[in-house]
Amino acid sequence: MRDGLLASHRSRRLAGAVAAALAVALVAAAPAAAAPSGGLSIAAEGTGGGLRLDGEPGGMVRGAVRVSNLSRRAMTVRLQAADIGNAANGGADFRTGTLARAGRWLTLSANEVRLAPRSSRRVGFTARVPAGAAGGSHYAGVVAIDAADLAPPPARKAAEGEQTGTIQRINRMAVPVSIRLPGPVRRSLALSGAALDVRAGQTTLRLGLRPGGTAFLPGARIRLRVVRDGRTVFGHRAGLGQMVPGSAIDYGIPWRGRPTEGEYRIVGEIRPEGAPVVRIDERVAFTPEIAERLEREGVAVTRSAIPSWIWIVLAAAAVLIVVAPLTAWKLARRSGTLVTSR
Amino acid sequence: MSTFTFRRAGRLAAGIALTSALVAAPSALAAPGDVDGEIDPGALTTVTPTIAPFTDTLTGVAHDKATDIGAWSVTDARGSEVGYTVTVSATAPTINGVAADAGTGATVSLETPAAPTSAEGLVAGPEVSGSGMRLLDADAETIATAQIENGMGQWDFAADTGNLVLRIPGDAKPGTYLSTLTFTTGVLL
Repeated sequence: MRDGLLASHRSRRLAGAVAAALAVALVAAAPAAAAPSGGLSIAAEGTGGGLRLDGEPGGMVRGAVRVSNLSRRAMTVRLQAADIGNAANGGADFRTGTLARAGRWLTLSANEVRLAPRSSRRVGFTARVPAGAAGGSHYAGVVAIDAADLAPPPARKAAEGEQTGTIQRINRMAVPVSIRLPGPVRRSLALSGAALDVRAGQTTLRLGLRPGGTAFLPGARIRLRVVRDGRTVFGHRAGLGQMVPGSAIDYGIPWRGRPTEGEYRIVGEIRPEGAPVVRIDERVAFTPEIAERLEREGVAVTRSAIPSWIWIVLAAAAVLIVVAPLTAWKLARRSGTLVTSR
Repeated sequence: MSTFTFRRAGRLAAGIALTSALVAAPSALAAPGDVDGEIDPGALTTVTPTIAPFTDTLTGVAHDKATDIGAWSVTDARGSEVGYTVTVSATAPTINGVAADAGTGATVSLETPAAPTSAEGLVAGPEVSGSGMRLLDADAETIATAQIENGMGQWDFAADTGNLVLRIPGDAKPGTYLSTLTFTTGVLL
């Protein structure tokens, strides 16, 4: 019986594994058949990752991306060159506003393409490297946007004294372009300072980070403690994503609890991959001005004003309400049985 | 029993290989008896969430308005093992197109999403970055990162209620509120 159950279980697992394997195989083999509704994709031609091109100062390099519409509807795709900076907690931030870095070097062969359902198109680009460009790696990107995302949202009429709100969302897909010029590979990270930031009733500890050198940092681990009068107020451990050189990071750590006026010491370290360790020993002051601003801006953004310990007490009370009558009933039943048996 | 299972699994594996080769490139069959094919890479795509519109009555004092972000997902079918990041940024809120009318200190905050799940039972998915509420502005914030060899397949981020919080200042004007959240999925460098 047990063997039969095991065999049945095994065959179900086997069938599940086969089905999953078939699904993976079909997805890998025929992407159009598995097109999700998002539907927009961009990839460096010939590679599933980013583009890596070797160049010379004053020279020109060429590359191409493939833009795909995996959806069942026709799609107009906007293409933009981008600078790559650092997101606030590491990771590439593809910036398409005013280009000031290697994004300026790129010229796309098309800024907009119209794609039939489930079709793709190659879009080439050139990168003209300035004669005075420094050695090392320079980072740019190509960003694709479904033009339908850029249409203004339908207007919603507001009654008197009301706001009707719409949060529009834009879905961008991006591929990085690394242009490597001759020169040594160096990586570094520096801490430029620490500060307290109060906005929307939230207090944030901010660390100024400055990635340097000639190549990106693959990542870093950060570990610190906030100390007051020799006592740890709270600790923080986290990872930082990839960081390109020359783009400052304002790394924010949400303050735990409510700070009180006075000075706090921040101690710890940041361990970047491929670069020396950065020791942290900074002081920040929670001044009366910051306290007043925090007070003025109201309570921190929370979904519930009820402290978590109240929820725990309520949960315990709920359990008691269920368990107590049940226990009383069981005891009464037992004593009744005892009386009867006598 | 186990020999039988292995034999059957072997036959099934061969069947899967044959099926994928046929699906991938039916025209690529070279000669009778040969099984030859090409598996094309899939794509990296994101299905971005829907964001619930809202109505808010002004009170003359700063208050928070929470709205919902729907489910969203990232699918990496490239087979390249190169990871990716998802960042989010927000434009400064406007009322009827005017930023000043959104009030002094109007902000948009996003609750860090819960770790994504895989309907296929995959492991080693993208890691969620940070924790708690985070203020959004024009500078991108990374919300998820799939390191190299991670995050392949489809990863679903669950819908959550009230996880997008808008600070409506006391001096905000009535009218049509608009902010734009930009989700960017980018391949790792």
